[in-house]
Amino acid sequence: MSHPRLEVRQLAHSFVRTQVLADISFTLSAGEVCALVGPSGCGKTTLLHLCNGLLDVQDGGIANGFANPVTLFQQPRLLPWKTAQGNIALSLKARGVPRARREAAAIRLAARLGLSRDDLDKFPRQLSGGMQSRVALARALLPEPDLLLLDEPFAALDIGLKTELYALLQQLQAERGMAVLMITHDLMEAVRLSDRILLMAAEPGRIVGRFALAQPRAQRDDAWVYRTTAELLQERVVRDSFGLPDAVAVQPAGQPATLSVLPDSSLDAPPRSPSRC
Amino acid sequence: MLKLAVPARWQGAPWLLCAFRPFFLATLASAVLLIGLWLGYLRGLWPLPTALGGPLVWHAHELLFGFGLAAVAGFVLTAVPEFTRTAPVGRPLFFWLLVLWLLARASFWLSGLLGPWPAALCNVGLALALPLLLARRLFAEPSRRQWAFAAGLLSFALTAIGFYSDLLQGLPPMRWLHAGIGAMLALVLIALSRISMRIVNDALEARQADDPQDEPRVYRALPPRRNLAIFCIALYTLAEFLLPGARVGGWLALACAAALFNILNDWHVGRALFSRWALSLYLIYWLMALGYAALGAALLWQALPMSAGRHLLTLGGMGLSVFAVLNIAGRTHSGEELDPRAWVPTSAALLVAGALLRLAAGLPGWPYGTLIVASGLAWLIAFGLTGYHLGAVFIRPRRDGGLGCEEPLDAHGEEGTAPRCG
Amino acid sequence: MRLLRTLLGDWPAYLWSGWGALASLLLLFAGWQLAAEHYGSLVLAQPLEAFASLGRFWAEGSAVQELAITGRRALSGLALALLIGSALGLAAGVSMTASMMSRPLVTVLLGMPPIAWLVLAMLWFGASDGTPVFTVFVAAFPVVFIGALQGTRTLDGQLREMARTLHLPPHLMVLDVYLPHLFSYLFPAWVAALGMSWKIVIMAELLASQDGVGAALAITRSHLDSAGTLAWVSAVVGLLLAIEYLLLEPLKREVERWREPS
Repeated sequence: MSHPRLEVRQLAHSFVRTQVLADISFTLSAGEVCALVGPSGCGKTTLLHLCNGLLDVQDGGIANGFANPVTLFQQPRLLPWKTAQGNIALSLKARGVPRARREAAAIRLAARLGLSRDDLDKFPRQLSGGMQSRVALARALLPEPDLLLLDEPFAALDIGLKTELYALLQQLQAERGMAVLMITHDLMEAVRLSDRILLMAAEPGRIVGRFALAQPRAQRDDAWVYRTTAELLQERVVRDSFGLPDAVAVQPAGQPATLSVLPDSSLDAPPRSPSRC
Repeated sequence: MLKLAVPARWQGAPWLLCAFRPFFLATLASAVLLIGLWLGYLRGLWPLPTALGGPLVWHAHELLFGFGLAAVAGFVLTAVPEFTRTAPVGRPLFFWLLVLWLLARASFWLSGLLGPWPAALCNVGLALALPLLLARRLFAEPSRRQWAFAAGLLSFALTAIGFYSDLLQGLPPMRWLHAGIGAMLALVLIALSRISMRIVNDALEARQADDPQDEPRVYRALPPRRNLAIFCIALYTLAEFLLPGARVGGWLALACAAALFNILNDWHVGRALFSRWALSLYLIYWLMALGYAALGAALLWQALPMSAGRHLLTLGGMGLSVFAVLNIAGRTHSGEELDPRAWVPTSAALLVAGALLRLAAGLPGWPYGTLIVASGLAWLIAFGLTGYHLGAVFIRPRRDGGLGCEEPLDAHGEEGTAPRCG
Repeated sequence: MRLLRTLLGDWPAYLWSGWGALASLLLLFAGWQLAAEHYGSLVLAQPLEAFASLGRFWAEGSAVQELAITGRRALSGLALALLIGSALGLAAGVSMTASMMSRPLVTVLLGMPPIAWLVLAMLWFGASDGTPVFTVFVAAFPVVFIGALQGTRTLDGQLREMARTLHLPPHLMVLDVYLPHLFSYLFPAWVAALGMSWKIVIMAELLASQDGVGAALAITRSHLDSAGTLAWVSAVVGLLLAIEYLLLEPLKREVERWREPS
């Protein structure tokens, strides 16, 4: 298993008679960070649940070559009757790691994520939202996953906490070479963190644009992120997808483009059936 | 309009800097004088002043409306303006209140000669003056109306009115003095909750500084438990008044004891409790609880005389809390830190011992006369020491340059930022 | 082990917190005293008279004996209700169909007055232990059943999803996800059932047994012995209070510590 990949081929999905996903195809390789961007309700979460197996594939295929995928949900989803430490160690407990080892590992990782021993003895209800997110992140990262599926886990946090947690995540991603598939509706977040952006549109959910970000992630400063996000927002397909009015601004002249639009065969494929909702 | 003024010779006198000074001095003097006279009378050394109602009424009346009311007056006239953030009580006003207190003493002591009316006017006037004069301050802020203080002061005044109304009608007035004890103890509970917040949290902080490993704890005197205790005390006082000697009162007295012990749930904060002031305040609740338990045992099983329990409440609970208030509020508002010397715990221990000796005096088979005297002597020494050490603070000018009731001033002449104590 | 340690460690503070409850009880005694003095001891004995009677029963040994009999019956009925009620409630909760079907049945059971069950039980079991035990069982059963049913139905789907993505093996799924949640519903139901079982066993004994506290009450009633009656009542209530506050409440506090907000 030198180069595991997640391959999604011509995936489609409907709930009863509503088609939520149509003709989704992409691949994700080891060490790559890919962002799925799109407006609310475009089927991002459904796609993620198909990838992590919470939903059964109806049409098309998903080949997951990663041995150790882990999902981080929108809400922390901690067991309220377990202490923070118990919650973190749960992911190793599921794998049958003996208690002493899993607790030691949990304490070590928690310390890196800014959780004190005192916090670890608390129950989720006694922790703030930011602390709960840290616990959820620690639980996800403890078994050293090779694929991380993120469903906007920090969307509810304030910008400072969010930035801090993403920085931590990025650090650990770089150390371990995890592949990351992240869902977000925040373009700037996608620009800051990912190698590749897949743009989705709703009704039915489909991929309408693919962008590659060549700048190494470590070298992206705020200015670069703002400029690239602005550039992205000039793209017609982005504006359409989010339902923004036509752009009036012109392309900033004299600056090299930071973004390259990738060719995609499925890009022009028409949706298969009109949505009813 | 009558314009009150302080006589010229005492303008700016240190003992009139703040309302508590003359009243606390009066408290200390009466503590020693009243018990000294009483002990001498019990030993047959001298007669008591010819007051109406007889010696026992004199003893109870003076300790309640003399000693007790002086302490209450000094405390509320100083503390209420402070925690309602209103201007301090004017010097002429409290000076003339003090004169009224002195007249009240003299008129009652001589009531055998003067008849009941002068004593009635002076004592009732003083007891009523406190809630009426402070009413505006207590209700100044609509969001923080001090109902508890107002109600406590009013019910205390009510017992004074009742006492004199009985006396004027020639009825035995003792029941009103028993009710007065209930009102006084309720006031003690209300005042203690404010003082204890500061004392116990200071002790916790000191403990925390000594031992940073300790988990930080905060003490809060939450109202529900205190209100339950005040409710029980009110019921017991009412029952004792309406049905003296009835078993109902016995059960209610036991309920008071349990409710007072229940307050101590807030107090079990670890080793910080063993600092001197925290422990002294803590013991006040114990003495009051034991006092009510003894009253309950007396009413239900005739196990011991009522007076044994009664004196745990008064000599113990009231005495120790007056001692604590004098030391804490008195020194703080004189611009001094709390007294670190050994006479303080010695006096507190003597008061506790005095209360327990007085309880023992009531136990069958114990030497009544000897224990009464021993108990009284413990009180005399405790308040004698307090008068000597603390009285000196009340008659000298402030050493920090303050000119009124402020808490200790720092080098720049500004009040410290420490939490306020009521 | 940790549970035991915290239980023992918090014991003094917990016991001390009982003063508040004691104060309320003593206020109740004061009211009782007042009523007794008003109506006279023949109608309502005074608290101290009742306690003196209880002391006499204790000294004679009848208190322990009758309480043991009553306790045995109440606990047998309760144990049956807990076992069967929890098991069936869980089973019904798992299946939507079963829970739909069982709800009206449980409403019928809850609505049926225990005295009606008692009459039926007397027909079926006569004067044996079966009558009180059955009555207790049938009265406590729906309470436990509902608790178990609701506990199962309210299992959080999000937590289940989370556990699935972590590949939690089935036995851990039960131990770490299902049971703690269920317990928070079952435990209060069990406590409610315990309280009911005490009340109902005495009613059943009063009408259908020759021994037990209920039968002893029937005797004191026939002798117009108000003090004796109240003595038995105090014994039963006191025992229930002791179980509730010395055993169940501390246990509940410990196992539901996670519910306290900081």
